[in-house]
Amino acid sequence: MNPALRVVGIVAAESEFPSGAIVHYDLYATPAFAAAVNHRAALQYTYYVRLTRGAADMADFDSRVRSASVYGTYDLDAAAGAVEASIRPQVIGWYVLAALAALAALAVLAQAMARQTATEQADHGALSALGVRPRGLVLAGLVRALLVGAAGAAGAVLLAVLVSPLTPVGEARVAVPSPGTMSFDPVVLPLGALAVLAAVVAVSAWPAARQARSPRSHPAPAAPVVAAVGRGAALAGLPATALVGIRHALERGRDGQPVGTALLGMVMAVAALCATAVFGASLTHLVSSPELYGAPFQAYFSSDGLPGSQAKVTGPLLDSLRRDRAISQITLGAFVEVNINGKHVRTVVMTPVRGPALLSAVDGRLPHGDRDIMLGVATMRDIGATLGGTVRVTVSDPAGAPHAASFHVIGRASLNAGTGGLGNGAVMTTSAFIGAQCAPGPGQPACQRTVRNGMATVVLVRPAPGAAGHAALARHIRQYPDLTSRPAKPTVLVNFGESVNFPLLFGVALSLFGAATMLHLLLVSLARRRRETGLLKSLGFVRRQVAAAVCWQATTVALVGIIVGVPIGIAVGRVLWRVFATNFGVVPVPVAEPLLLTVLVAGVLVAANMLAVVPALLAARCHPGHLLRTE
Amino acid sequence: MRAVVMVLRGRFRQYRASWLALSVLVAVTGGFVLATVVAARHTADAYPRFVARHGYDVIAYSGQPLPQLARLPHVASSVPVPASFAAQAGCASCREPIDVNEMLINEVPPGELPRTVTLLSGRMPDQSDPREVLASFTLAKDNGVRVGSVIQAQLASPAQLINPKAPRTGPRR
Repeated sequence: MNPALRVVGIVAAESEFPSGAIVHYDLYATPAFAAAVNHRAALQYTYYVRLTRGAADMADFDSRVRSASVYGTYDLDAAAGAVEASIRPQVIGWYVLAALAALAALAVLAQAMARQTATEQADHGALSALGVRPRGLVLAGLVRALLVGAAGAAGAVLLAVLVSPLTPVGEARVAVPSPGTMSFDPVVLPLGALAVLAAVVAVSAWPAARQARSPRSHPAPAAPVVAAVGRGAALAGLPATALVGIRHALERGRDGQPVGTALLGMVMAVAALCATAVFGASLTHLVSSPELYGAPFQAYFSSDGLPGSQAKVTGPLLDSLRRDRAISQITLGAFVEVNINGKHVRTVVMTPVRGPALLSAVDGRLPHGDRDIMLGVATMRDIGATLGGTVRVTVSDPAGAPHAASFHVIGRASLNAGTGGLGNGAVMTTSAFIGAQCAPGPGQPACQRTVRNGMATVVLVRPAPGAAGHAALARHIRQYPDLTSRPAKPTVLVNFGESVNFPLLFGVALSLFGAATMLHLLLVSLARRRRETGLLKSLGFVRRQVAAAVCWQATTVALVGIIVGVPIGIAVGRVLWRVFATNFGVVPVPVAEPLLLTVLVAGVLVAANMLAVVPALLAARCHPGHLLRTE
Repeated sequence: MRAVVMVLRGRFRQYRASWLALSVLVAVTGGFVLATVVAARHTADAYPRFVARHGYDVIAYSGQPLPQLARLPHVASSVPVPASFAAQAGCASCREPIDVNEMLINEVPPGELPRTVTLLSGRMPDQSDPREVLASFTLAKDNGVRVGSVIQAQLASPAQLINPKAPRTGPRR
């Protein structure tokens, strides 16, 4: 039988979403196909089942169908949980990006509105002379902000609708009924438009009030810190251009340049860049460190479904591993279905054979008593358990009768695959599970035998460090290739970087934010220090020196950003990574790469000076007479 | 109030280009933020809505029909789907060979098909045509199968069938 099947449509079904290491491929044929081939083809019977109470009935259903002629079940609820868990980082990434973009937008808009207000201040004297009161000037500024904000908010909604076909991305895109069509979010967009309007008015209110009350700004004396920096620079023998540039970067000057907000913006940008670098380095370290995401073993051996293969795994294979001293850790494990606090939880039962159990603990300790249980972070949240508290575990015996027992939560585990994704699942010892399932009495030994025989036991191994250990493991793998598997990378975290490269997106957004802040500072400073620049030229500054002063100004702002922003960024990045990693059920190990941070610092200095090139050229080319004409 | 209107009119005449530029700046920055929040919400809602439309709780695999499954306690409904295996499968337009170990040719009852799958592109098959099939998006993504592709499947006969096995993360065959 060799039919040619023509594909007329591409579809998505629940079982095809990747929730583990194996991808499912399906063709959906017609009844006509079935009539033509079924009598000659090998058939499997698949039953898509809905349970009365969903996941809560799963444990009981599983124990009942195991006694029927069923050779496997696939818990779609657990798989759905894993798929949702793999999509969750993208969701968080989008929200973090939104928050970051909102902060950047506020900073840029605040400066732009302040500059507009300062520009419009030019006619305040004339308006005051005509009888317009300060309150009227404030009101005019706010109405202008309202008009600008309303037009901008309408444009923002339009833009959001226009780009809506681009999202969602990755697996989530397959799940939406009509991807690529424009959509209007009735919750976010109206509220968002109001927020945009409110934000524009809010950032305009203070400059409007300030400018209306003090129509002329006066030169402020240099702050002690600024004066000290200036003295230090002079004592260090820095050239006059450096002294001028440093003063321009740190002093408000006679026209009240927005120095503080610019410095704050630069500190925030550098800090956020460093935090992103720490976050990205920690993510890379996590993906390359299986012991952090629930796979402290280097290989595992399990049945391939052929007759006798399970006996081979727990018989000769396990014996040969035990005899091999180059294998430093061996643990037996199996997946079982239990209810914890009334909710279905896919659970790993483990028996350490040599060395500590091959399990990753986020915190707490590994289970060894018959009433010890570790929970995944998400599972702990779902069932309302706490570290150190107790949970009610219900398991069904082979006859389907439920048995309940209290377990002590002794830690949080990182579980990679098979339990519904990172953060889901529970871990207990095999004897604890069997003890909970088989009540004491005359039937207990038979019950224990049945339960043990029904388990699909997997052997997890970790070789001793060094060449001998790796050679020993390779030897066992060569002997049992069909029974060997390697731990899979967590799709949840790999997808986080593959579908949308959020760390890169953050980095680009932050770089733009920092660049916009720097450029704005330099241009505003250049425009509002025209008379000072003219004076310097009159005093003998040549073009090169004027340009150098602008570059020194940019370098000073960048250095302030680096000195203050780098330590803050590293600290924030470490905290963010700990929160992120713990939330997703992996062992939180933040990493700050010194080389990466050095490159980043150098990049900030180079970028600041490159951004200063155009303002420096503009300043250098101006004629002193033109610059001083208002004097 | 008249003074404020006068001031605004004067300033609008003088600075309308600046005001327009500010509006564009607000639209671009605000639009980016709104689009990002909308993306987050769409991403978060996508799969739960899909499961609400097409979801089942569990799939059970057997080598023989199990009519008694529907009568088990707690089973609200069950849809039997016979599935055949391919010993080999490939197509001219495929980038990669198809992994037949993880592939099934499912025979979902026509009435249940819209409840089981969502159509991403193309059309539903003519149920009287034995050659027309739908392909999963995983085949499109990993192997390059597309609408119009012709898959040559060499079906396994009962004699060829190796014992069904349970894959390590989700039983299939």
